[in-house]
Amino acid sequence: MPFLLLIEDDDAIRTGLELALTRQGHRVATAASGEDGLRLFKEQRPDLIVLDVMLPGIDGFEVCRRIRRTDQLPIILLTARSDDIDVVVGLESGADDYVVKPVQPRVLDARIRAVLRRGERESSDSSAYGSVVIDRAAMTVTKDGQDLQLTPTELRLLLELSRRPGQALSRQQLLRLVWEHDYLGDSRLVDACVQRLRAKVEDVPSAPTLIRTVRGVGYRLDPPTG
Amino acid sequence: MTDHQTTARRIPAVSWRQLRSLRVRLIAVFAAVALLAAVSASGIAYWLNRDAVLKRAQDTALNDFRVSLSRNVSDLPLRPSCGDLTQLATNVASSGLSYDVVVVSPDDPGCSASSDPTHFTLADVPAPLQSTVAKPREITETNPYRYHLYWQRQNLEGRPYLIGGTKVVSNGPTAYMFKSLENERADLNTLGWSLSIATLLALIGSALLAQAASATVLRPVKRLGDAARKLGEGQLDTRLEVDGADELADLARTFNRTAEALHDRVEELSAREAQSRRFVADMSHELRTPLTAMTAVTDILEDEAESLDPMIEPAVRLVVSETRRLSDLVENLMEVTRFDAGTAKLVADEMDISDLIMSCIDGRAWYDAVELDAPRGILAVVDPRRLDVVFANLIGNALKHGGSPVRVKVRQSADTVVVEVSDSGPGIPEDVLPHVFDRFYKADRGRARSEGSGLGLSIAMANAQIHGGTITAANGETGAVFTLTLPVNRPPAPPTAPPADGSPAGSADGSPRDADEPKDAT
Repeated sequence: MPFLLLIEDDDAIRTGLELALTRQGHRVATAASGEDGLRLFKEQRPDLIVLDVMLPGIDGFEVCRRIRRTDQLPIILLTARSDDIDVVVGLESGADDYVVKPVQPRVLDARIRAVLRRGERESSDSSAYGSVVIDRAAMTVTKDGQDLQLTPTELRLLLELSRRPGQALSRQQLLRLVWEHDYLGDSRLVDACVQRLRAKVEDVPSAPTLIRTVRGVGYRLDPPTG
Repeated sequence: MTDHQTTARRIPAVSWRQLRSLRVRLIAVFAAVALLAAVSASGIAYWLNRDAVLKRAQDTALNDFRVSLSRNVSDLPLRPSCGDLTQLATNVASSGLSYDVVVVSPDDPGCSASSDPTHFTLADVPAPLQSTVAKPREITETNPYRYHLYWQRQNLEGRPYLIGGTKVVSNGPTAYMFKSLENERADLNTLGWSLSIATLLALIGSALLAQAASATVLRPVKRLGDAARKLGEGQLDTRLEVDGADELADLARTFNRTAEALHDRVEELSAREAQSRRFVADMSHELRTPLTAMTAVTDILEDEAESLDPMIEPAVRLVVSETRRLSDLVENLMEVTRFDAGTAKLVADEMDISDLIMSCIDGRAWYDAVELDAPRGILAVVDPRRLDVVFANLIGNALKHGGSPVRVKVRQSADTVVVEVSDSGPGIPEDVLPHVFDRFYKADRGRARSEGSGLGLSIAMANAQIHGGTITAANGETGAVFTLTLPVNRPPAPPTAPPADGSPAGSADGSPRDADEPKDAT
């Protein structure tokens, strides 16, 4: 039973979502502020966090950034609307996905399950891309022998790309493969995740040699030629 | 090419306007006044001069003729022969100023004595002068002489002459004098030319003056015109510099006052409008918080509805369905306020249009009611979620008001994608047609509440417009036809999040994707 932490300041929304998510089969802990949420997160180590953006005190982005300093668990943002700067800032802060209020509990549940599935192990071998080694069996990525801290979404994105080395995948394809979104997926999710992934695996993130942008198509994982 | 044609066609219109312009009219009036003044002044000067010059020449010549005649006539015998008369003529002519003399005698009509018989004879003397000269006057107190000296001006062979004549003695010979007025004519011609040139100069001067005057008048008028145009274009802070105290300065002051008032009024109105927009935006925002909580539990209520008391079940279902409707309405309201505030953004990606339509129909279980004619492979850079809203609204509207089958046709022409949604209904009444995209416009006023929010088509239109496209509504052969036109490539929008590596990772760059991009079945 997945253990979720819901951080939401509005009592009614918090109660409603807690009811709905519990009914969907999740164990839910709730917090009414960012500070409470961070404390609860450290005490109870949930599997996933559902995080409201607009919080009194430290806001959702800051909560997201603080968690990401130490942990890579999935974070889903609750935002007011899909097309504003909140989404971009949220994704840059390290969120894995977002939903727009008022959200249907079924939709939120589907997103939660999808993001949790990304961390599931698969039986496969490991492959090396220069100094980066992806161990599919252990679900770990090492660079120069050191473990990289990747979120499940980042890991899944890297795995999907590494399954087809040298082949470009479009954003819509990646949205389906990694985020399990339908055709209405937001391509900014892919772009933000690629940026974060590059920051972790590339030698020089601003001059990527591993995860290449294919102009007009999407992204491609290249084994380094050297 | 069209531009050139338009320009060419405009030229005559402009020149006609220029002909009637204030400048031209001013110059014309100035020129007319100058012409009138110059011509009348020159005319009067010319006539006065002419009279004076001719009178002096005449008086001199006639006096000389009289004196010379009276001096020479005493030598004439009582019955002079033709030779004597010729002698007399020659003597008189040679004694005085340069004129020629003809003498005739009634005793010897055949004799025509002349100082220059080749040029001047009696035949050159006009008949009225001859008869006047021959007519004796009665001698009274005021008139001591029976015969007088008469004169007339006459052109002989194109030259002007003064012809004077008098009886030398009663019943004796008559003498005529021919004085050329060639010099006087030359003088007068010179004078005429000078006056004409002076008139012309006055005319040119007046035109230049008019030009200068019109420039001083028209410059402020032009400035006023420019300012008015700017004001019309929405630059409400346009003001004129006021200098002087003339009518134009007055006009400028009035303009400034009007612009000020307009500025204030517009500001007040836009402040009020912004206020009401903000109110709607805040309202819908506030509404969303309770709606989110309600939506969160509707699924639970719905799942439990079947096991509830039959009295309570309909109530629960009503609450569930109305919560969803309210949720849609608020979402639409917020969407509208975003479009109004200009904060709506595109998250564009290259999509297969037919895939999008298929997914839209699929997701709403409309498959049976929609005939889709959409070849795959028509790609466009669009925001998939916004376009989904457009398709859902157009097809949903067609199903609701037109009835099935609804036909959806996708075609690509040049650099646009055209999606046609036609239904099998009664069509749209002509008086409703211009309003179908208006907010909350209901074709049937009697229907206080319709199933839709009344915002669907206007949101669809706004979504099409943010893509650089449009939607038109018309009546086709079988029912209403809505046509969505979208550009294949949107002009590049500023990327929402500039990628750190500088590569265009953001899809909002609007760059066309390769056509061989792998596509998956939806």
